[in-house]
Amino acid sequence: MSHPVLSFTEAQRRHPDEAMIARIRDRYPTEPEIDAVLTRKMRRRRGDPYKAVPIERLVAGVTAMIGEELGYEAQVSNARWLSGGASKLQMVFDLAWRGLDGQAPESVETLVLRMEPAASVTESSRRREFEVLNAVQGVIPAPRPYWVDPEARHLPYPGMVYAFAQGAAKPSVGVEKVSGLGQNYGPELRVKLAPHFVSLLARLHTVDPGECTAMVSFMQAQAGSNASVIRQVNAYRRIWEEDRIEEEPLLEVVYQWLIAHAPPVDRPSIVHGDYRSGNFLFDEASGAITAWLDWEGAVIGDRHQDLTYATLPTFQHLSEDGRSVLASGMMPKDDFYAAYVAASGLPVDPVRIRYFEIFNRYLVCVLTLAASARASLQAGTHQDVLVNFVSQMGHTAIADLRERFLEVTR
Amino acid sequence: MNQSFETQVRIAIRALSDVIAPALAGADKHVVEQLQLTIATLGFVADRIPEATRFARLELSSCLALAERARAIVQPSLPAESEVLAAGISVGEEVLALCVRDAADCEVASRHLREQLAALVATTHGSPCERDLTAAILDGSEAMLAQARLWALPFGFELTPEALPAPAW
Repeated sequence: MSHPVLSFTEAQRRHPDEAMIARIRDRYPTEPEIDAVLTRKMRRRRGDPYKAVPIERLVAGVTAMIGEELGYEAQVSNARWLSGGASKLQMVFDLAWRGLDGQAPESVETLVLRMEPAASVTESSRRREFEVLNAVQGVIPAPRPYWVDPEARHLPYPGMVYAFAQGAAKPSVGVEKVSGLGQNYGPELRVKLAPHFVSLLARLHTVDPGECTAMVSFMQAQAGSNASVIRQVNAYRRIWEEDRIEEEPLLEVVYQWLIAHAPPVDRPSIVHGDYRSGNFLFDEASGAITAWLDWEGAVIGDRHQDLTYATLPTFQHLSEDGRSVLASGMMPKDDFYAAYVAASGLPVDPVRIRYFEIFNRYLVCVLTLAASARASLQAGTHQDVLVNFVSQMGHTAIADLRERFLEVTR
Repeated sequence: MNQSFETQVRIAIRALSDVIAPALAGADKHVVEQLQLTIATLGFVADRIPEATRFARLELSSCLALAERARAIVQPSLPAESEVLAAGISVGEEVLALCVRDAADCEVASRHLREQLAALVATTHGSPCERDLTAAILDGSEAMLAQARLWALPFGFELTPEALPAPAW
């Protein structure tokens, strides 16, 4: 089926009007909540650039938000910025309160406010993140979510509050990289972390998403249909249309292929969407993973998406012998897949693996070369210098996409 | 005489590294991280400013070569689209011929050709020339992407920079 080719100028992308937004929405249909988030991003772009938010403003917003949710006054104190991550603005604070029903003895709990800036590396829904965090409680260690302000009624931008999770993001010794990409945990810690890394993914994927009544903002994926996969491809193609600084003809070739070859989902799963080294906290002494973070990219879809994401070259490094390539700093790719099959009882299908290897590389190219570049160009974040830095990964990412695409399609 | 842009950026880097950074010892981690990234980003700019025009000209040359190849592929079956692409090629060649033009002109012409090529990929999807055009894009992208990776080398994302070809700009 032939579609009209969209054509917009840089000036239009900087100040999108409703007609442009409507044409893109119509051309690349996706899930309603994703559509709403991306549409809001485009409308927000017409407004003022991001202005630094004083921590006092966040304290006032979160106090009002929690007070309304609880129906009684709770005290926010000791607010401070929480570093880490390239996409969201985070504040940690103490809350003196009497529990959700107001009947418990007063206690103090440390919580985190996670709020989006005006633009982001990954434009996403706080509502969905809140829902999926609720859905995975008791399944996989993840911060307990408390409240969400999805339409920014109290906060400057949409945000949510969840429990402060204990643990380290990086080993206390070793080389740090931006956002933990290619993190090397070292041989001793790796041996402890790796089995946990696999078993938690297996546990997540074996949850029946149809039973997760909290996930009302997610469209279900139907077994035997590729519609959910196509919706996702279209979401990233839409971001490419909205955000790119310059076109890359290769990405149009890959997009056409992703649509034409989208495989039906054999068994719908909750997909984390960003399952990799650097996105979890752990206890350094025991090697136990204490919390999985960054659920904003979660979807209901195909488990092979997470499996191939964790093995992307960006998150790999060589083992100490200089020979084995360790996926997400854990284990060689084939060992990872074998361990996953053993832990989950689910098959790993090589055809779907090849498809999602291309899908995830396409996704990384869009998020770096388009979303990150646009966010920093239009002064949309609280750390444009970091987001701009991340965008420069895109050149390596697209070369990797080309190479893998040639291998898969030959 | 004014200092060159490169010199001015390097002066700013020195101030950030030697004066500001030590004064921030003990500051929030994200403050120190942003300062380090700022220094690295300015380092990239200082390294590349002297070569910016040459790189932009190389990129435009590559886009023109790919566009010429694509035009030859689609010309028999899509003469109208071929004519549109020919107009873009003509503009790009004119920019390239004027060596006094600056990098921004080359970038504008390159971006126009990139848009035209991607639109052609979408237009020819499912047509007899799709296969040849796809092959041309994949083939023509290889050297362009390698040069772009070299250009971004100062950011430090390449695991094996020695495997990249020599700069062609």
